[in-house]
Amino acid sequence: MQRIQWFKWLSLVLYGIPMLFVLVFPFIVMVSTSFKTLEEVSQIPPTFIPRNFTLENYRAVWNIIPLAAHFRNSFLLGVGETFLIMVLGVPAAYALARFRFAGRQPYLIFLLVTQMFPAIVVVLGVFRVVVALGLLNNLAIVAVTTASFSLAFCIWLLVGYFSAIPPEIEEAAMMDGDSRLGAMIKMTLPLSWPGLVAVGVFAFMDGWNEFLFSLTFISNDEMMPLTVGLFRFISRFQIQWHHLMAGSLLATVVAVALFMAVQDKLTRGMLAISEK
Amino acid sequence: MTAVTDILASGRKESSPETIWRRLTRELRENHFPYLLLIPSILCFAALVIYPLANTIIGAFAKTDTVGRAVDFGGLINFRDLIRDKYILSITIQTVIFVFGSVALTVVLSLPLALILNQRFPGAALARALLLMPWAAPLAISSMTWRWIFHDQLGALNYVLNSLNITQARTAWLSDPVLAFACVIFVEVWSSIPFMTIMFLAGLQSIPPHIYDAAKMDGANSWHEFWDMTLPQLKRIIIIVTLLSVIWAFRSFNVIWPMTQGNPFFRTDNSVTYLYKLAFRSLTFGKGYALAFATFVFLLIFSVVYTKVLRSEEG
Repeated sequence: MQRIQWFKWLSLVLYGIPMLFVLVFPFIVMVSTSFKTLEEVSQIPPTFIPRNFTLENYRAVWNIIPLAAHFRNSFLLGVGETFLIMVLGVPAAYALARFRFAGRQPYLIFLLVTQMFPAIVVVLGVFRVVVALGLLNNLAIVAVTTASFSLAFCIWLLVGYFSAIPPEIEEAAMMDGDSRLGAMIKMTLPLSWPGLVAVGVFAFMDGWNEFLFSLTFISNDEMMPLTVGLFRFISRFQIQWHHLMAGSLLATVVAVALFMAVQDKLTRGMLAISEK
Repeated sequence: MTAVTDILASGRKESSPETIWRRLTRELRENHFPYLLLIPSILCFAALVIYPLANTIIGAFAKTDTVGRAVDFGGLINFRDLIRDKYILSITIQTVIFVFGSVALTVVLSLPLALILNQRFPGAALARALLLMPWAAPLAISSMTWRWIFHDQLGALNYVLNSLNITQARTAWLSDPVLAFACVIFVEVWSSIPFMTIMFLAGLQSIPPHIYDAAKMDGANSWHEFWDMTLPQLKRIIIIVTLLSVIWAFRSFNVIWPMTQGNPFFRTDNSVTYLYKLAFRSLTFGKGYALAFATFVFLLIFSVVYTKVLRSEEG
């Protein structure tokens, strides 16, 4: 027993802690760089803890690029995707979890197959339609394409949550005179609330973190989300790393904070998929 | 996983089109509620998955103009152009190394991490929260941060290496083709570790503890215990997570594009970033469609073969 304890601490110190350090390293650098002055950023060798702590970068990046607009756009993408995933995914997942019907298994296979081609294929395939319809620089088209792309995965997650709720509860409600739809809305949806929240946050993050669709479909600065706005910022000007890091930190904090709130529920949902 | 493979197997059995069609029409008459529920998602998939895919397939066999319209039947002309493309061979090799290299590394690095995090120690909850950060953060933005870390003069990596006296050089990580390629693989691994570790961790926690009791009585050592008892229990999860990771790594764009855009000299491109260039930089949409088609077919075949092989192994 003594030996096992010793091994446990050794592996933690030699492997666990260094690994975790590497995993959070970019975020440490983000924080550190974002509070440095230009002078200190271009200093060799670099410093880790800013000597002249400054908030100037945050003000600067806010003024140089339309950061407020980027924030708004990222937020809209997140909300839009959550809405779409709920409207499109919840009914589908409920049907797949509750009913055995012809076409159910082909549909589940189809969901799996949709995972197998890169988002760039969708981009290529819808690009000329987007151009033809004059939908370039339209956030809605980005939200819809992003949502359609993660819809399959979210349906799989939701099927897991719905399957965990015993159908007897609905049957009881139906005996009391509720319709099938009524039973679903009154009994199953409230019970699967935590799962719905987890998938909703996942969808929001997916929209918030979206990059490729916005990169191709949006060229107007005012309509760009944070990811693309910051990428354009470093492609267009000489890279001002301290400004970039300030913007990056703001974008990251939102996503990480939201994710931490639901991570437990979400990982359990994912495990449910893999166990099936 | 079994469900997935079961579905694949049973789906094939009942897929004689006539029976499916007959069952479908009958069920639509008698039991239409589930179909109503599926309609919104089917419409969405039809418009934004099936339609673009069909477009891509048609485009792959057509002559295309500069906005990607198919103007004439082209036969295999796009595939011929693709094969004659002077970068395509290196892009293919790079894609394969990128995908399988990063997935293999991620598995090898995540498994021990999951074993460690599965133990009780003070700060375990914090450790798990930190673990998830790379997954939660916007990947495109993290990749730009890594680009800053790899900066030759001012980057944190050279600083760390120099201070630890590992090297005194100011290595230009992203300018050297080989190093840059290693760097994008590294960041891909970095971004995939959280998901895989957390899946392994959840898998470890679902192993019933009593299976170890007998082994302890027999005096099995921990290596034995891991190899003979833990690993077989994790097999299912390893299989599905690996398949998912391979598919995801094939789709990876948000690491390479923000970090290197395929530079230097197309040496860090994978099929996705190259596809992006073919379509939106050189406006050779036809070649892009052909490459997209080839990637999709490859992934489909890979997934079917992979699940088949695993099914036959499971007996």
